[in-house]
Amino acid sequence: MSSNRDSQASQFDENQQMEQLRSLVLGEDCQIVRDVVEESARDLVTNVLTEALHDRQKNDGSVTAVIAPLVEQSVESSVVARKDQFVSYLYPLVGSLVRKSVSSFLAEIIEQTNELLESSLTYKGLKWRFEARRAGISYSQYVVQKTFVFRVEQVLLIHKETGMLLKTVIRDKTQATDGDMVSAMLTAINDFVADSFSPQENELEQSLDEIKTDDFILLIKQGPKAMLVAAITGNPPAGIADKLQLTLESIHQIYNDELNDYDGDSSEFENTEQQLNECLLAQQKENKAEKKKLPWLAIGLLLLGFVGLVTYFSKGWEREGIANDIRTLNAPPGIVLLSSKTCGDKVCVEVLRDPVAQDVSTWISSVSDMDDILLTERSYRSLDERLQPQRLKKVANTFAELQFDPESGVFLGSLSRERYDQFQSMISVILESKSVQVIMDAVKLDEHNVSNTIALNKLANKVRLLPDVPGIVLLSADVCAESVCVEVLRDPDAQKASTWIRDIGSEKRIKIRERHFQAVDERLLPSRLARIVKMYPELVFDSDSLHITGSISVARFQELRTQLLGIPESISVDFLLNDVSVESQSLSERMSDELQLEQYIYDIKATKIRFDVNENQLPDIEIENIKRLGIKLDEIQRLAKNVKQTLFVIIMGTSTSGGTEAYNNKLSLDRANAVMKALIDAGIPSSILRTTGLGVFDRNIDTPKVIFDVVRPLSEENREVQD
Amino acid sequence: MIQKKICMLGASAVGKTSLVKQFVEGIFSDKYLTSIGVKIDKKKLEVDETTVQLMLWDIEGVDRYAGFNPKYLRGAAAAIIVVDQTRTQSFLEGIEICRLVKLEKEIPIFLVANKSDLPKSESWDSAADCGVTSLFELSFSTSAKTGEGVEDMFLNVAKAALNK
Repeated sequence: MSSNRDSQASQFDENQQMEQLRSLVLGEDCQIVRDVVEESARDLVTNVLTEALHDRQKNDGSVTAVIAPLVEQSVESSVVARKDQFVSYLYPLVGSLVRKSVSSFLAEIIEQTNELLESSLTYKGLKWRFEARRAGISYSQYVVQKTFVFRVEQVLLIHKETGMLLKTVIRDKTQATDGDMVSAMLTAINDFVADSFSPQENELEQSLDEIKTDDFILLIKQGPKAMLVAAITGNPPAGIADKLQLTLESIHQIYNDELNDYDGDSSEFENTEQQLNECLLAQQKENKAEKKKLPWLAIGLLLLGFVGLVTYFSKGWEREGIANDIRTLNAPPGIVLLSSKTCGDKVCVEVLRDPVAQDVSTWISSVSDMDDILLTERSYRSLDERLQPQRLKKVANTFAELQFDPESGVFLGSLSRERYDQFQSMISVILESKSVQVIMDAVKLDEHNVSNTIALNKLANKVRLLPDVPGIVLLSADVCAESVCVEVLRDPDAQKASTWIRDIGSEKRIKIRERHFQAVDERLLPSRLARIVKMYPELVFDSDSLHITGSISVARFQELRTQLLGIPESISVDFLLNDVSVESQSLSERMSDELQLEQYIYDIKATKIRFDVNENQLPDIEIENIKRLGIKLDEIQRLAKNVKQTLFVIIMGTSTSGGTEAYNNKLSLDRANAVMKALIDAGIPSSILRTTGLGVFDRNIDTPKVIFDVVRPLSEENREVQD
Repeated sequence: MIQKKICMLGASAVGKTSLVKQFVEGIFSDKYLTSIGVKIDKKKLEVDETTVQLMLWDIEGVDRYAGFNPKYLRGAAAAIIVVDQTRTQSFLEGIEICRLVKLEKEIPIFLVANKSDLPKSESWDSAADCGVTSLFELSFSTSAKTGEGVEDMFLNVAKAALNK
């Protein structure tokens, strides 16, 4: 027992000693060790932190759960506290992202629009559309076939064993095929091929590499776990197969485990999209000739549309501009612009206008042609004082009897009661009562005018009541201004209108306006016949019995008869001419007289009576000449009478150049007078003789002489016609 | 989304294609579409809040003279063997097909007795009761014409495929 107790005691001691030793070495509660560990804790943790996190995450994924909220909170508090800084961090990144996204979007839109224009609206486009329809494929497919040497439309990554689609990328999203079905069917076909054309045992299984149709080529690349299938239009180059192969190998390398453990969940292959996209290759046909072809149809239509639009809008803008200009125009007094706006292809302008104001078209013409304006004008009365001069002018026009001074606006003169009242009422409308009084004071009320008007009215009445006179028809007789205006129709053979109204008296206050007409009134016959017969002095007319008597040549008889037949009144011309005798002298006799007369005149003009130098006595030798001249003068007197002509014989004395001019003049006149005296002595009436002295007539002539001329003033007959 | 490949097998004219058609499109056509080799359809289902897309491989009718291409079974998650309950012969052929499938691949196999809208053949029950049903994961009775039992059958197949 005791040994037991002893051994227990010694064990206790050992433990105690160990405790003591431990506390000495390690410190109280291993404090020394803890201190040492704590001292290097940082280094220790630093060395293994990453690995530890990795291992733990791998084991149970709890690291993400722990860190995620911490990160979220930190980011949130940082964003709240340092917003600006975050914005500056993100700005370059977001900016470039947005730029890239927008530019890519725009490029895509432009590309699509170009393609659409180039292929849709050209002749080629229409042709392709037709052919695509005939071929039973969509237009876009047809365009791709025509446009590209080749184009990879879709790439499918297929799990080889199950035939499930792992991932697919499509170029044209609208042409999407059911990838799942295609994958399964391809796998089935591949299986079918492998089975149908089964090789010998132990040989590699047959598999499809390519499936060709009229429009498509399916290029199939087989891997151990997956297939990569590219649906291609056109003729792909050899390089594309290599590209697919490389991509498939790369996918096998990266996704080896996922392919091995595939159980139907394709989401693990989402990240293959980038690699598959790289396989969407394409090569466009180089068709320079076609490239150069512009879509003229489209360009034409677009241009036409553009021009139309530009014209439409420019016209619209122009009209809008005109409407605006009119709105900003200063309206002249008496015009108020209500509205100015475009309506259809015109500018509608609505105005109020005072009748005395300026014309609206004149006002607007400074900004626009009136053809473009649809004007609606309504009258109103403006209170604008600037219009007063125009108003007063209008009054002045109405009251012409008043004198008007436009500058001062003053009227001078007198008016009848009626006109005075009318004037006052017009002025009252225009001016204020004060101004009206000023104006009215200057205008006198003419009471005399009243009685004058009455008198004139009476006079007019008298004219109207005048007895009827043959050949005169009264049209009107009215008071006008300060007189009576009478308008009549008068036959030229009727008595004068002034004679007609003479009986009334006050003919000075009557103004006659005559218009000629031809009356048919037998009472006019005496005056008519008298006028006609007056032209035939050889005849005598008795106005009471209407008898014409006398003798007349045949020609004049015919003339007279024609005139009488022109008389409008019915009367027997033969009865009138009953007492007229026709002369036997014929026209040929008269003509012979005229010819003889001309001959004598010619002879007389050629006659020369010679005088001695410086002598005014008629030489004897010329007596015979004078006698012959006297006979000729007798003859021309007779003949002139026959042909109803009056003649004068001019006796012109001349002298030679010796002596003074006055002497010569006198000498020549004396010589003329000597000849005249001799002629008178020979029985020639002095009334037809005239003398003159010409003086020196011709310096080359050395023999003084007297020469003759015969002048014929207007014949009696002609003179009568002229009267 | 999980995708599963399901193979439809059976003798000729038992109604495989019609079953798929009824299931996928919800309609039935009396006009029988001859299956050439294999016809593939797909249908999405919701199983326990998981979306499953069944890729239905409708394999050409199998008879005693012509087998089926075993490669079509590759990667299948389940197989459905369709028999015609009006023809006992089709049941016997179904058993044979089941044997061939089992040789090829270890997957759940479902037996579907189709044409439930028509009366069973006289010898049907005696053939069905010979203890062969243990070969199958489950067996169903369907009518592709009325749609009866079709949805339920495919739903069960989908569940089995998911839990494989």
